[in-house]
This record gives sequence, C-alpha cells and structure tokens, in this order.
Amino acid sequence: MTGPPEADAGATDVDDADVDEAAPPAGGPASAGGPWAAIGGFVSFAYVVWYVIDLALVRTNPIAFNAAHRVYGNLAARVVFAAVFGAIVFHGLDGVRRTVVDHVAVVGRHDLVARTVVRFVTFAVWIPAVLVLIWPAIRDWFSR
Amino acid sequence: MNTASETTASETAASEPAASEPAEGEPRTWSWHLIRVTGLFLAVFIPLHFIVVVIAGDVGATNAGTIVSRFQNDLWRAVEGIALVLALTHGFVAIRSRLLDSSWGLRVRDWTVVVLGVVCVLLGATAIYSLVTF
Repeated sequence: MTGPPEADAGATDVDDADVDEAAPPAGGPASAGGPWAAIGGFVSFAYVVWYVIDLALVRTNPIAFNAAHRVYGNLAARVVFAAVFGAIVFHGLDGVRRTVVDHVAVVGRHDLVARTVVRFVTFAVWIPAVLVLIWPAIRDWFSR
Repeated sequence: MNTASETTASETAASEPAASEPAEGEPRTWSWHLIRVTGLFLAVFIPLHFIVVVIAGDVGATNAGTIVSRFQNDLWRAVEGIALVLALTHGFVAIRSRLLDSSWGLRVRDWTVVVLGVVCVLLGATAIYSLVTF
C-alpha cells in the first residue's frame, strides 16, 4: 500500500538531508537558533559572570586578582579563553542574522547563505584572535 | 544532482518560517523584543570588550594596576557598565524563556527563575558598584 520499505527509507533520507541544511531548527522561538546558538549564549553569559566576579576581586583582594591572572596566562587557560571568544563571536553574529532574517524578507529567503556567512565571518575573526591569544603561551613554552 | 538539491533546499528555506520567528499564530512577547534589542547592542559591545580586556590587554599579563589605568577612562567605564547590565538582562531573559519552555515542574521552574533573577540582580549591582566606586 505504501510501496517498498527501501524506497520509503531512501526518500526519507533525502528529505531529511534537505531539511537539515536549509530549514531552521525545529522548536519554538526560544530554540530557534539551534543548539550551537544556545551553547554560545550560555558560554557568553558565563564569561560575563566571570568578568563581574573578576571585577569584584580586583577591588576586594588585588593580590588574589594578580595570582588568578598569572594562572590565566598558561596555555590551558588561553585555550579556554579562545573557545569563549569563538562562542561570543558566533552567538553575536548568529543573533544579528536572526534579527535581520526577521525584518528583511530578502535575507529570510536566503537563510542558508546567511548562515554560511555567519560561519565564515566567525572563523575569519576567531582564527587570528586565537593566534594572538595563544602565542604568548607558546613563546614562553619554547623559551624555557 | 547538486543543483536540484540546492534548489530544494532554497525552496524549503523560503517556505519555512524564519529561524527565530515565533511559531505560527504565536505573538511576540516583551521578552522576545527585549532579547532582540539588547542582543543588537551586545553583538558589538561584548566582542569589543573581550578584544580589549582579554586579547589586546593580554589576560595573562593583566594585574590590578592594569585595571586601575584602564578605569582612568570614564568612557570605558561607562561602556563596561552598560555592556554588563545589558548582558545580564539579556542572559536572564533568554534563560528564563528557556526555563519556561522546559518540561520541569512548575514549582522548580518558578524557583529557578527567581534564583536566577536574584543572582543576576546581585551581579549587576556588584558590577555597577565596582565601576562607580573604583
């Protein structure tokens, strides 16, 4: 009645592939940006919380602040900061894309292109920033 | 094959609602507008803040003296204050929306939102106090 199971399975695969690439993620308005946008938002929020605590620490205990920032100079901490910057840039650009898509119909019709532009610009900004951020730790490592 | 696939993809994208569009018939709430407006400012402020504080200032070489000299500039302090308050507001409202959409129990959900709100207010007050009285 519904045709051979193999044919159905094949058709479903093709449909899924098309939808995954082009359609916005499923869910209501809150999940519209997809999981990466949510992860980026959460990491960005964590950065803001960290910065406020850092700001309070410099006022209350400058010695502890200095000690903490010496730790931030090691390679592992710099890698974490690099990841945080990637999350911030992606979340910001993806948010701008979503706002533009909502308000400019032409961009909305080319959402796939807009998503690609967001990814490209994210990496174009992120890669040089990672090099600048991590280079001091690498230089120190080799100068030992 | 590829062209056909891309055409299908474009058509699907055009026929689907926009990524952050509320579901069909669902009104745009005040929180949706607040997230969008604060988000547009933060898309500029937070990367700028990160570049100045962590990358250009080299987070590993920063000490209390660096912060003192940075805060000599009133404009920078104002930008930081605005960015932090907007970021905390944006984060709270966005997480609140997520929590309200979640399948958690009503009581747990409400208390989580209240606790998150109190934490955000405390963080905002700490940030403003630190910046104003520095």
